[in-house]
Amino acid sequence: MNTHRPFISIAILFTLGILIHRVYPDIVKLSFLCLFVFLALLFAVVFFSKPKLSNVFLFLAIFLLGGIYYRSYSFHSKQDILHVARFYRKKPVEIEGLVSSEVTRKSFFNGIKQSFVLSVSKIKTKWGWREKRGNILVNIYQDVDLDFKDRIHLLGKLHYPYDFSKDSNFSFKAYLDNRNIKLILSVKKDSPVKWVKKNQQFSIKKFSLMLKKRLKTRLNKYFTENEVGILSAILLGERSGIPAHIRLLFMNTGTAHILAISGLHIGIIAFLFFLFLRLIPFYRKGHYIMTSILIVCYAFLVGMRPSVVRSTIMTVVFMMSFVFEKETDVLNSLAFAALIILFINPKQLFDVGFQLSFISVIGIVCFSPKIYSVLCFKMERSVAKRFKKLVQGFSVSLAAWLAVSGLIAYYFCVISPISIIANLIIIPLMMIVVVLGISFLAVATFVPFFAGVFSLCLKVSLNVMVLIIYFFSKVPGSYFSIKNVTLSAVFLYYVILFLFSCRPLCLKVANLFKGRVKCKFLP
Amino acid sequence: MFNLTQQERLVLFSFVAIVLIGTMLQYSFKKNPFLMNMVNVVDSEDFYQKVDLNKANYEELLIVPYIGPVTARGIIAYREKKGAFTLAKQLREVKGMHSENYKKIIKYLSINGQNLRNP
Repeated sequence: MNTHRPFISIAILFTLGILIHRVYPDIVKLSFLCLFVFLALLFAVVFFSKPKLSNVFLFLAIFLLGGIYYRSYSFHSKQDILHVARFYRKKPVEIEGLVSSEVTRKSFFNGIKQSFVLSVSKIKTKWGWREKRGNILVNIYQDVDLDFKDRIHLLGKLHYPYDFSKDSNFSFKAYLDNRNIKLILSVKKDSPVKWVKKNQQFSIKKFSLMLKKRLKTRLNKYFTENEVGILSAILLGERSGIPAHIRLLFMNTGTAHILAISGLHIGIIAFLFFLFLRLIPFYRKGHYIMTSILIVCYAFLVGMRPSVVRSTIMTVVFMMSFVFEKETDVLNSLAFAALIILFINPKQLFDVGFQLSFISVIGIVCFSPKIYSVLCFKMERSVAKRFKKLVQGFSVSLAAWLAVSGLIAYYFCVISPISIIANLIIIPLMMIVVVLGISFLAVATFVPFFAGVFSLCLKVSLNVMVLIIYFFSKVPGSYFSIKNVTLSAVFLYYVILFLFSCRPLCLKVANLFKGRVKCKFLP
Repeated sequence: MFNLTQQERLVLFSFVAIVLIGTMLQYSFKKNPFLMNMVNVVDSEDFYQKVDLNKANYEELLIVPYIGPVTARGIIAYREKKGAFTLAKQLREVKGMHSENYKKIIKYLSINGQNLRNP
């Protein structure tokens, strides 16, 4: 069956356009690029009656559009604060702006550190206040009650981000740059923080942050600080409170993806929402639509990270397939989700979270059926049938591990072979934790009488999960460090992986060149 | 009136099962408080991954939370200059070690297989 997947080619070309212009930023002037896109579109219209030729020009336009979009997104206007930052490196500077992200709180030595993104509106120069633009990351080392969309006035030291360790390829500076943040403002404990205007207006984001705070209060009432840190990450997308030793355990056993809300979490939560909505007597398609709406609201609540956006889009597409009675294709909806994320922020392509999120799904979709068929071929038929679920689970786990290992080795200099087995056990446990967690939050909000018993079940399942991860980390050879992993080595790894997975296609191409297969385009 | 759909049965079954298990756990923890400590893995220092202060090399020290390149180099320099660590408080003499960091770091360290405790 020939599956129609237009979004895959569009996403690949758009991505290539972004990639080329990242590597060669000044390859062609922006104005010429726009002209080429216009010409390509023109030719696509002129040759509209010849589909193959028209498609070529259309795809060329999409490829060039990727570059134009990336360059326009990376462009800093003359008003940008980046242009004047170098004059304020040595002394404190006064800045006014709007809090444009969630305010995260962390304990820091003897006090509190609050971090958020500030949309700059003014900076104080020796000639007075000047209008400036741009986003900066603010670290405030004091306990102040800041809220989303508050307009504030700060005094602090402006500096460029620095990389903490040169041992891995993960760069904090690049991580911030992918979010269009090039500067950090550090506000000391005794520096004044003044409110120009407190946010009184209602907005969806403000409501979701307020709801998140309330839900976290419910968790604080029944769980210890460390447990709240883990549960906030798994249920509410807040990773700043995860204890360092727990983070290390999860990273070393290759199960750190559990601490980030992604496809599995969204899938479980969508199932729970759908299950409860089915209790309401309503027409079936309405249940799918309501579930989609609730999932989108949940995505806003937990913060729209790439993995959350990807899985939300894919879940909504899946739900809508029932409403419109159309078949869905996983790879096509994955490509669609990638396009949405890249349209919002093309620099997300270089974000490690984006890369891991998409490559893991591609790996599972492409490799797990092949691994499963190889394992079934090697095993006896009766054994394969009896342990079908286990073999399927192992295939998915191995496929995901193969897909993400290259990137994990590059960014974090660690390889965790134990994760193949660990994930087989931890993922079902994680599903129980998520179901119990969401149920606890619902019960604690609407039927607080039962919150205590729900919290105990959740506490025990969470601690059992961490205990099992701890035992996996103790297995000899469970993980090992790997140094000096270059980008070309990672690229070669994925090329080899791709060649193995596309063996029939490669054989076909090889035969084509050997003259064994006829091709209508060649004489 | 007593007919339940499949979804209603699943929800009701799950709710009753969780309440039952939770109530049994509540009773067990009240009767035997030590069970609560057994279950408390996340907060227990026994489940921290320990690195031996006298055997770990630079890369192994960097993996420890709150130990950065300066502190890791300081620990190795201290070992080379004054020999192996024998007491936890010797860690305070390492270059780059603050008292707040020290309290956090010792949970992840051991000396010759013995866990370090804050004196």
